[in-house]
Formats: sequence, structure tokens, C-alpha cells
Amino acid sequence: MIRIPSCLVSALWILLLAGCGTLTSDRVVTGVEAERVAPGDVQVVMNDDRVPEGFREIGMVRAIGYGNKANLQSVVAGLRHEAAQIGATLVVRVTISQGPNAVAGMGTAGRVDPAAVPPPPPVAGRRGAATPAL
Amino acid sequence: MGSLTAGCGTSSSAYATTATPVEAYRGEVDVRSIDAPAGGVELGVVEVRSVQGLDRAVAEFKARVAQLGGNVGVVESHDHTIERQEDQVIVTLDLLGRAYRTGAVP
Repeated sequence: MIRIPSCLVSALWILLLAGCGTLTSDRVVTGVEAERVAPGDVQVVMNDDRVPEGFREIGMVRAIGYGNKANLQSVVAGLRHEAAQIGATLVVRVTISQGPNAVAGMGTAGRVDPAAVPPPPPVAGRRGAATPAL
Repeated sequence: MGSLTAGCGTSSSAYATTATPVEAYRGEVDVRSIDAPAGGVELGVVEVRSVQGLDRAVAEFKARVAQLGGNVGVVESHDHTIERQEDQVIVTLDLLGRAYRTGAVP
């Protein structure tokens, strides 16, 4: 009988566990791509109808995690990765779906165009905001 | 008017909401998912179900928009259904949106 060292069994088990998950992601460009950014510069906003003023859509991004990647953290990382590739700094209207052994997320990737953001309205009562005399 | 197709991994349907049908659009269809096009005329609704890639689902969505005579499609909602079939996990993407025509409607 062949004896396998216990440390080798442990190492194989760890490798097996580490390899039990996959993350797939894809994207479609629907606007004009921008220069690639770092995934860490991409902000992901969960499903919310409020889209920031001046938001310019670049594309749709999706990520699906299986096995030990079937979690929100991995899926959000996948969305960030895809958005960064097309120069998006924001992913909005994100939907997350959970099922047996998989989690899927999808959203709209884009960036805020500062030129398209209207100036903030003047704040009332600020004119001549000098320190009041005591 | 309504129609339904089911292909290999992707199925779709389109329903016109206009009083009179509009001739199919033969140019490139723009897709967006945030706002309806300014001044666009709504022509109908489109839905796509796909277990294939996002690009395949969006291509099907565009084809359905064009079939309704639209040159702009707006994806209003997207969601995934995740099911286990035997030892496989099947992830199905659902896209639902509207077809619009900007410019002169023939």
C-alpha cells in the first residue's frame, strides 16, 4: 500500500478548495470608451434609480461568481474590473442575483462628465456672511 | 404585433405598441440603459432571455429593436435567474426594454 504523507494530503486539499471557485465577467460597450483606469478607482453603486448628474454611459458590465467566488465581494470586484477596462469610474443601477452555488451582478458603467454637471444653486442667506456683531 | 424566437441559448420577443406598424430599421441600433432618447417615439417593448454572453444578448436586443423600426433601444431592467439542473448551474440573463425611433418616423 502506498503511504501518502499527511502534509501532502493537506496541501492537495488546500489547492482543491482554492480551485473550487471561478469568476467570469463580460461587458458590452454602448458609448464611447475612455482611457483605462485602475479597478480601485471604480465606485459601484447598488440598485438605485438615482444616477448622478452628468453621468455618461460607456457600457454594460456583468460578473458571475461560482463556488467559493459566489459572493458579493468577488462579483463587485468583477464589475470593477470590467468597468475599469473601458474607462468607467462608476457602475450604477447594479442588480445582484443569488442562486444555488452562484451569484451574478450586472450594472451600467460610465463616468461623470464635469462639463455636463449643472452648477449648484446659490445658497440663500450667504450673501455678506460676515461674522455677526455681538 | 408580437413575435417570439428561441434560438440556441437565447430567446426573445418584441411587441409593437404603435397604432400602425413601422417598417424595420436597417441601420445600426444604439443601445443605452439610462435614459430614453430625447424626442424619440416609442415603438414597442423588447425582452431577451439568454444563457450566452452579454454581447449575444445585447445583439439580440438590437435586432429586436430594429425589427420594430427603432434605431435606439433602452434596456430598462436586467436580472439573472440562477438554477441548478442536475449537476450544472444555469445562469440566465433577462433584458427588458423599449424600442425608440429618433428623427423622422417613416
